[in-house]
Amino acid sequence: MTADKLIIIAGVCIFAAVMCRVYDNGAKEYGVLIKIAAAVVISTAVIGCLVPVIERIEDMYSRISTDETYLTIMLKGLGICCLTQLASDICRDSGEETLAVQAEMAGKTALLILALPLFEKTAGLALELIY
Amino acid sequence: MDIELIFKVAGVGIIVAVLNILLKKAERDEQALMTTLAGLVVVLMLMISEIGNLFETVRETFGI
Repeated sequence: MTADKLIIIAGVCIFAAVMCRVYDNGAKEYGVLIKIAAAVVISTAVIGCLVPVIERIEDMYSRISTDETYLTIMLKGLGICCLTQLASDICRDSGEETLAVQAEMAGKTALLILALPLFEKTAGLALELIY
Repeated sequence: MDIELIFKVAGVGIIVAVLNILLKKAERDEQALMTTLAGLVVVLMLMISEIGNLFETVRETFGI
């Protein structure tokens, strides 16, 4: 994520925002489509830049402890949050509040299912401490 | 970082918007709707592969 990539992304955002207003009188649905196109292109680029960061985190994490489950659960949660946020923001932006709430509900359920083993482990630890 | 997708979507949108206004002035509203739908199909075909590409990147990066 160098500075010139950031400049490109800023330019793309401004261009897409302006183009959305161009379509307001002619054909509104193309405003939504160009927002989706810009969001998809930019998030692909940004997530592509995340790969080295994740590798470094995994490297640091492997030095600390051998147990990989917590890190994989965190990374999966991060991926679920990214997807849910993208979907619900696009739906809310195009005026569909219900679809946005449904997307967020699905994301929260996925996160809950993902994090359930962690709750069990912490509950077990708490019980051990008490008894 | 392929920005061509955004320019293609913008181009198709402008063409369809202009055609819409022309056809509405010529009282051919149903053909205006047809051109809008045709443009919609073209744009969605363009974007489907990009959206699939995004989901694949997310899947590989986060190990979902």
